[in-house]
Amino acid sequence: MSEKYQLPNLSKSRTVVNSATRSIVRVGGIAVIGAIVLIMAYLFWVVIPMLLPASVSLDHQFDLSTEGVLHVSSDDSFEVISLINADGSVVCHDAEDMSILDEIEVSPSHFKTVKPLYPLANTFVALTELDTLVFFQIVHRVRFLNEIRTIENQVDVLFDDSFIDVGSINDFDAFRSDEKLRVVLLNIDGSIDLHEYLNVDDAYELEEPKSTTIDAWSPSPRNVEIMIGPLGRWLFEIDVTNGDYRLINVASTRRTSVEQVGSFRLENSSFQFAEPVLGRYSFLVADDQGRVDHWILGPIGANQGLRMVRTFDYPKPIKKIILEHRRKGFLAVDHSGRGFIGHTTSAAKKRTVVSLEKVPRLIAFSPRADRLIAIHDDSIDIFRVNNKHPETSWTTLWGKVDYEGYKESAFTWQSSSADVEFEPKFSLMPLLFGSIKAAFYAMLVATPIAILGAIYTAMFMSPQMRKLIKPGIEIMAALPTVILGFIAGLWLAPLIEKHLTAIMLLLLIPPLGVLLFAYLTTLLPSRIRASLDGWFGALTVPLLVLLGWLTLANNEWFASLIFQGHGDAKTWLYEVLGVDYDQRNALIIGIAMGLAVIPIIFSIAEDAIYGVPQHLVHGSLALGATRWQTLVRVVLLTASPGIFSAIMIGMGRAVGETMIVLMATGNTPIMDFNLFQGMRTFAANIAVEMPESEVGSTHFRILFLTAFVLFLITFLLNTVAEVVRQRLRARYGNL
Amino acid sequence: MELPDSDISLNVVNLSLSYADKPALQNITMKIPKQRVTALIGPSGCGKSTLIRCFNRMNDLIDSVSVTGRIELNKLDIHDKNVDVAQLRRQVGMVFQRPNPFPKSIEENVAYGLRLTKEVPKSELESRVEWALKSAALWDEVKDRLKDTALGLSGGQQQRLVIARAIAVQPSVLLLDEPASALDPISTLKIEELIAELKTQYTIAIVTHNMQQAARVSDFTAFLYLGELIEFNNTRTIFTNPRQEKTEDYVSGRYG
Ligand SMILES: Nc1ncnc2c1ncn2[C@@H]1O[C@H](COP(=O)(O)OP(=O)(O)OP(=O)(O)O)[C@@H](O)[C@H]1O
Ligand SMILES: [Mg+2]
Repeated sequence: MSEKYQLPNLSKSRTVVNSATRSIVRVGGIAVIGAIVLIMAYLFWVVIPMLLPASVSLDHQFDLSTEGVLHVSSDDSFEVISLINADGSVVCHDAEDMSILDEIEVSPSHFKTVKPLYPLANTFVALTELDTLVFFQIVHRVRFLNEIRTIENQVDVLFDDSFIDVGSINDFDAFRSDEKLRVVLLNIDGSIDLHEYLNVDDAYELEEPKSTTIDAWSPSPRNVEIMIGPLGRWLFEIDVTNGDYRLINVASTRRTSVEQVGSFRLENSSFQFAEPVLGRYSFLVADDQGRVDHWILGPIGANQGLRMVRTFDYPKPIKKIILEHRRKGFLAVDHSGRGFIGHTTSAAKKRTVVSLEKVPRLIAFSPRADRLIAIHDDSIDIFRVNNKHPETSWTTLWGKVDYEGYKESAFTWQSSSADVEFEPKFSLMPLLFGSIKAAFYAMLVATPIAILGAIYTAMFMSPQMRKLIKPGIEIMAALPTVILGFIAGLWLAPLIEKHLTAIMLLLLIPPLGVLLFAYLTTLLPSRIRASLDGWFGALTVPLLVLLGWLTLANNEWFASLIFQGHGDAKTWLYEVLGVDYDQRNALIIGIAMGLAVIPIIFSIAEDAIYGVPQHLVHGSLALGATRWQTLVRVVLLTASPGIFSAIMIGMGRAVGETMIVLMATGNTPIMDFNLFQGMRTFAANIAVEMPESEVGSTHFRILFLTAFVLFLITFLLNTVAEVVRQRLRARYGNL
Repeated sequence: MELPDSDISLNVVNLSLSYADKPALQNITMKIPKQRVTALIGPSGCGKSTLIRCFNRMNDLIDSVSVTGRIELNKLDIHDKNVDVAQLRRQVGMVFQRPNPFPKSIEENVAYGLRLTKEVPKSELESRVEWALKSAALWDEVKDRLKDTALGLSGGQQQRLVIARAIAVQPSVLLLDEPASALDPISTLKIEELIAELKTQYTIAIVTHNMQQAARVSDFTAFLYLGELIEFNNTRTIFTNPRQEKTEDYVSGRYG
């Protein structure tokens, strides 16, 4: 009776297999998570340097009398520091030890003032004590003599050593473009002479200029400074005592006109000085209380003018502002000799402070803005600057920004331009907007088609036909998106543009045709109908093709019928709705990307619907529900977690899809939700710009940031999808 | 066994059915009387479920089924092409062999059939649900959790829930396919009481493997064997004095 049962021991081989399987699965799972974390970490690693503040440290301090130094500059690689002296010479020093390399006489007569020849680098114009203007360029040539690298320093006096006699003047400025030299002279009486030299060549003497005179403006011309503005087309006149200014349009020498008269003055403080930012599209204006305002040139009403867009507040009054040579960065020095690194576009960037001990007589950035050269009366201090990414801040990435030349603050993405003075515009909003827009229109096309298709396939189609259709559609997912994009951009886009009316009617005519067809089939004898049951879908295909073709073929006729007097849909859109039609627009994306997303949504949703247990369907039908009621109240409800995942996964795909958007839109980063306008998405932007961005540059890192954001978005979408799906499953899932 | 026409609910004449080319029912002719309980018995696979599925045309849903013969419900041919199948199924309610509650709340499950048409006004839904649940002897167990999902009920409770769901629409015929197969004796008893109560208003056809149950609840019994109707008679006659040897063998447990 008391027989003892013994549990058999687990056999050895089974234990081994069990634990091996478990560890393989575990390794796989951890590897997947690890890979994702690694990608995230790498993207973030590239982005991090952008978040770090700038740093400045003293590198060398040379005791040296700097009497008579008027200007300081250096070469690109910071090997030579050139000092332009009042005695008409240029002395080149070794940047390492300040030993003199070359002493070059530029002019026998002394210099009174030296200014850079705007907008060239290392090129200067000097006013001599004989009231002549001399133009010269400091050249540093790298030579290899017997394989030893040497730098040859040289000063070329331009225009065949000629000079311009200017007589007695208050101020001057000069502008040089390829073939043109413009010189403006502020006469003692306050009038301004503008000389334009044409066919200018460095090696030849200047020809006779075309000249005009602009009438005096300030009652005290001694206090006026003049400055040529962007592209040599503008002339600023600033009264340095009170901050009043005048902006003159000098685009044409024959007809100059005053564009704006205004003042930098503030109510509760007094104006100190105004310094033009690189490109001279904007000014930094300092007052006597530590405030620096940024004024930009841009359209004001019908004219151009300066307007204040942002303010930098400093604890103490700013005495000096110097500019970087290749970016919109600057250094503001207060009266106690503290310097603040800043950048105009990204005003909110964390501030870096450097102590210069006292306000230097002269101070300049090296061309790459990696050094600061501060010149005191008896010393030259050299600072190392590490400020790689000043252009961005949270606001410039996500907020509206006032850019130079803009009428108002805007979200703009414009990362590069051929122009060195260009202000990069790194707003991610247009790209985010573009991604959302593309995904939205794609989903608008894909979701209804895919879901309805899935319902039909799972519920109504004959099993044989389903066996053909399902893998057929799933194979579409394997279609390379390059091909879809290529076809969409080069074939579909022009086709749709040409047949716009008909395309819009396609939304109407074929569905109506199908409904009519469906009605007609109910009139068929029931025996024929029963034998066709489940195959009606196949029968509608030729019908749809025929109706589609008929609609397209009669485009012109429809257009003349609907848009009488406007020609076609495109002109009607423009004339009546004011909508500009882009050939490669959101409609194309909707169709092409929709096509790419349909198989994914279809496949997952179909599985979900097909997987709804038959006994639920039968239960519903047995209670007297119609097929339709059963579908809506039981099948879709039970399949809802799966359908929801299908949509979310499709959306994740649409947001990240690259090739189609790249090829089938104009990739214009605009923020317009219009169906007939293009867009630029994060993914397409990375594809377009990554190859041409310099490794390690701000642009490069921002592209990584966009990749990071894209990653986060998909991550977020998937997480939300999963959470909602779990909830739905807990609620409607079957057992 | 002759009945006046007016007492016949379902009249089955020469019904044959085959799945693809495999015959499942052969020449079945029987009259199911009104407001009585008719039990269908027979060994597994003999075609009981198939037969009752014919009564509300659930077999239409299975591809490859072909049916010949006639079924009349209150003298109307249910295969007539003017018959609205959905309407037919509202009159001939069915409880399946396996409980199949919808993934909805208990309340929604019972109200499901009522919400399909506007016959029952919204204001009465609640009381109708309560009535159905009480009739199915489930009310006391679920009255505090009507909004909970029906999938959280035990198998036996689910079975009673689907019965409540079927009677909520108040069909004139109720088809029960082994309604007590998943139930404990007490629930089974409740269901049997329920059947006894329901037969005052409904015509009931019940499939069962439990001979005692058939003997207890039914007025008439049909014995099917390999797709054929072997014998159809008063329950008492079938169990005490069957005419056919096969019937006797079966009810006395000699095979099956
Ligand atoms: N959907 C179907 N397709 C094909 N054959 C079927 C189908 N349903 C039932 N059959 C077959 O028809 C015959 C009768 O089946 P049915 O389900 O009616 O038996 P049953 O009497 O209800 O058996 P049980 O007591 O086990 O429920 C069986 O041979 C079965 O294999
Ligand atoms: Mg059965």
